[in-house]
Amino acid sequence: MQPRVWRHFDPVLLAATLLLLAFGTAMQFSATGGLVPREWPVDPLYRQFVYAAVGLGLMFGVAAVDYRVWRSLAYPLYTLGLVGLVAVLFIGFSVNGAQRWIQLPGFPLQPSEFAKLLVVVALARFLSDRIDVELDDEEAPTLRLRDLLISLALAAVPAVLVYRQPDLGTATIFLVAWLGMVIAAGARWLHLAGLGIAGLAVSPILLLSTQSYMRERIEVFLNPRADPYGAGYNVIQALISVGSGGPFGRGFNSGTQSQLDFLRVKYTDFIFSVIGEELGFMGALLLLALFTALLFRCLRVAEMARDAFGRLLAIGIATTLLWQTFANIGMNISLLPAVGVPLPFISAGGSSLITVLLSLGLLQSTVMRHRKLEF
Amino acid sequence: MEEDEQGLRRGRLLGFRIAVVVAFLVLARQLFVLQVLETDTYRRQADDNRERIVWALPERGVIYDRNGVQLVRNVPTFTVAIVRADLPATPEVVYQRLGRLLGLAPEAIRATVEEKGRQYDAWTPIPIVRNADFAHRAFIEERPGLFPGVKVVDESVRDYLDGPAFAHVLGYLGPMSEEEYEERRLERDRRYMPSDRIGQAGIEARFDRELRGFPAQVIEEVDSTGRVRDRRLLRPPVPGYNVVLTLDARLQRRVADILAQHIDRYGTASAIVMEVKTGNILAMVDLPSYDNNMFSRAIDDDELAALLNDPRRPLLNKAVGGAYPPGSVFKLVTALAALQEGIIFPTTVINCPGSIFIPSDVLRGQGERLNDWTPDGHGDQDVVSALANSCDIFFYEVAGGEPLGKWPGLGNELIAYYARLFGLGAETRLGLAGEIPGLVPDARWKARAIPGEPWLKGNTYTYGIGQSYLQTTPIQLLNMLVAILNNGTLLQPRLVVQVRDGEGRVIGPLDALGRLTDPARPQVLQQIPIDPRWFELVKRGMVAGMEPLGQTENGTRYVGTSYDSAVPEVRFAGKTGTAETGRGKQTHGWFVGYAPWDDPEIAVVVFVENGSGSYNAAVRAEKIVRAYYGLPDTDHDDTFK
Repeated sequence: MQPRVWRHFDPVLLAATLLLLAFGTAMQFSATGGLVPREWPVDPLYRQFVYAAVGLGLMFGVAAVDYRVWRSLAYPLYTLGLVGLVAVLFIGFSVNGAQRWIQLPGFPLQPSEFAKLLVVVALARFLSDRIDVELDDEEAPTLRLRDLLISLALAAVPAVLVYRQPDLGTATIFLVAWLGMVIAAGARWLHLAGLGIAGLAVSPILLLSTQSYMRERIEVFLNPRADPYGAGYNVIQALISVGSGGPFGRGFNSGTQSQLDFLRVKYTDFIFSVIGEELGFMGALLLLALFTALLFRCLRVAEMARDAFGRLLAIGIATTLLWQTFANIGMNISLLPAVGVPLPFISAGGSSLITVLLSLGLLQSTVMRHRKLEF
Repeated sequence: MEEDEQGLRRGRLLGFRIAVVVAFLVLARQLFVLQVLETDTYRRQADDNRERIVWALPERGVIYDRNGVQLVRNVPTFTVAIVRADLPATPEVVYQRLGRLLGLAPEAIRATVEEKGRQYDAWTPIPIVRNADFAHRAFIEERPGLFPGVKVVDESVRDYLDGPAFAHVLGYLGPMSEEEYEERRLERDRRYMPSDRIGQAGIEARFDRELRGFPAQVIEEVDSTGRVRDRRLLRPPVPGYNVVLTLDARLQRRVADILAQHIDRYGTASAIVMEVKTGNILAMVDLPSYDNNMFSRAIDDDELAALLNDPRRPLLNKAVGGAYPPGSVFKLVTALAALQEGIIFPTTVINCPGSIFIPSDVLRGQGERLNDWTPDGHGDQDVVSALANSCDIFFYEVAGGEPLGKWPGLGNELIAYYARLFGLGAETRLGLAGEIPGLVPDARWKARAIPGEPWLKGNTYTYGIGQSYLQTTPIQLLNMLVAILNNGTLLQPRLVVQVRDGEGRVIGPLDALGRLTDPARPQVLQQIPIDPRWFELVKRGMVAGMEPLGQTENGTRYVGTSYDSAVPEVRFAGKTGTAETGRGKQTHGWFVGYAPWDDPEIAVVVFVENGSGSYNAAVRAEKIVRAYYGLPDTDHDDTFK
């Protein structure tokens, strides 16, 4: 432990983190019923407190460790992540038809959440290796097509495993994180465009092989009123919740949609609808402002990091958080199909929250050590 | 392009910042549309979600007798119902739990929900069990999590204070059929919900709209499981109107007791008592009856089947819904018609030899022998003695003519014409469900109804004594008598004095022109064009019927057919009828009577199935008149007759 590295600890990033965490906890309080009698420790609100405390502890722990340690451990960790994803297909348990969790003593573990971070670490390692070793320092860094495809494979393997759970939302996160990182690593636009065209070409096959639940989600997205009491129910209820909030909201703990349980899955994927209903447009803007501050701070880390690994790590984490936030809010307000992505910091769920806080610990570690020499 | 010492592109980093801003602007724009521009639409949808307008049934009006005796009251109960909109996706669990609690098969509950579901919207409670125990209510309401979609509704059921004696008049409530609801829905009658029970018989049916009231509209705030969190009254209920009957509850019970004597020997019995001056009905009893309170309880299928399978049809009010040949009671009409048409005069005397031979018009030497009820005959008879003796030969000849054609009779068309003037062959529109018109036949009717068999000469002869397909209901015969007593003024028989709203204002009943009716004044239907002198003559015939031995101005003798039942204290008069049923020697007994004869106050009709007029019907009429006037009951009885 080198106390002097803490001089460069980013307090703004920490503040944004803590504010979002507080925001999330408050909304969990409201979504789980407000001032109802609560029973320790089974009440979901208390569980969320515990996850936040554990996550914060881990965040500081990770910050204290030099992030480059993870560079050397990147591939073993990646392998561990894949093992977790394969394991969940065999020994996992299901909720609402998706087999995503492994029951550990005391708490359920969602390997796909941790896998997000592990894949970002592995991609950062792989891409930074290619840039550092193979590129002439005098030239602008460029990623070769071969390396681009290998990195895609690194992201695609966990994406396919997660897709099989089925969890389309998390699967997209791997691919979006990969995309952000290869762009930052200097992938040629021509290569990316070619991959994009290839992707479009195989998309009909993909669509045909799509599992029925996903097809249903997409149909609901296109026409939610077709089955307002069935598949389209919650999409409609979410829209009603957000819209009825108005500019200033119905008041904390006072949304009729959320408090009278018309809105479903309100602790997790649809918690943003509770925010929209109870805190209104202003509350939603506040949330977006906090996320903007957080993401800009993450990008600052990318700018300041001393090496390509740290930069790519920051880019990967920032991209992941941006996409999750956008996709989650987007599906709450019918901009995107309801594919099921948690809202970072806010949605209930230990694995998600701990992964986010671990990621931010990693970024703090990176920014703390951005100087090559520290006196 | 700017370079970076670690080989990252600064331009692309800036791109990430731009991506963050653009992504969030896209979200913010959509949020602005939803939450600022279109918020009213969504706000309304949110309110629609949590607020339901439910209809709360008002208190049903009650029914009083003419003296203010309450004949029915409302008793609060609970109904366990299912609200489809609040059922979980797999309702079987709920059906099973509910079935176990209530002792019903889950399949039966599902069947009810599915069957009624077609009729109801998803938010209307579908009744599963009425009159549930309080324990059931408590069990369900304390565990809303176990019973999503199950609702306990407060309802009230009718408690009829005196079951069988009043059942035929008051009626009962029962569930509405799909067709009945559809009919009311098309009329846009907002008083009715498909789950409602409506009047099925009697006053409950006739005055259902008045008794029902208007339901309250209540806004309920519910959560997604349908649990009610809050209630607000949108529109208060209008309680049902109260109905005051013309009946006298005390007399009604006495009449029921009188008819009940030896009822098992005679099948069914009906009696009606009417005020002569107003047409108001004081008592109307038909036995055997039923306990209308059984329809307020959870219905017992065996009990109901027993009622439905009873050949005496206890559910049918035969005082208005049973038609039988009137027999000799009809001689009153024959006499009036013959006098008015000049067939006979007050001085006309016809000899009754005990039987007459009616030669066939077609076959020479063939014919039909018609007998009087007594083979000895009555000798010379004028119209008064013929009525008192109930001489058949006199009225055969008046109806069909002198057998050898010396003078003509009325013929079937004139008899039918006068019968119809007195309201026979048509419903009295008393307003009780199940009323039938009976039948006033004539040659044209027979040609249509019985193809291949023409109206025979003999038909006209027996028409004169109230046979030949003629069918009348007790209420028709009584109303006919009252018209005779009023010298041809045909009145509307009435059961309801007043309909009163919640504040006690009188708002009904209305006459055909929509005017309030005055219970003290008669409602005149028509004036029958017959000379008052002939009415007086016929009434003298009915007075003479109560005399054991007498002689008329024309010197004809008589022995009153109902002299056993005379009540000289109140000057009781009347006419017997013993009608052939067409089933061997089986007869029906009729009696129409009134008192006092010089200024008639009440009129009464008694019908005893499988009985005789002079023995069984007259004695019951006598007992009723005695009861009405508070006289001691007669010791004479039909126990051994």
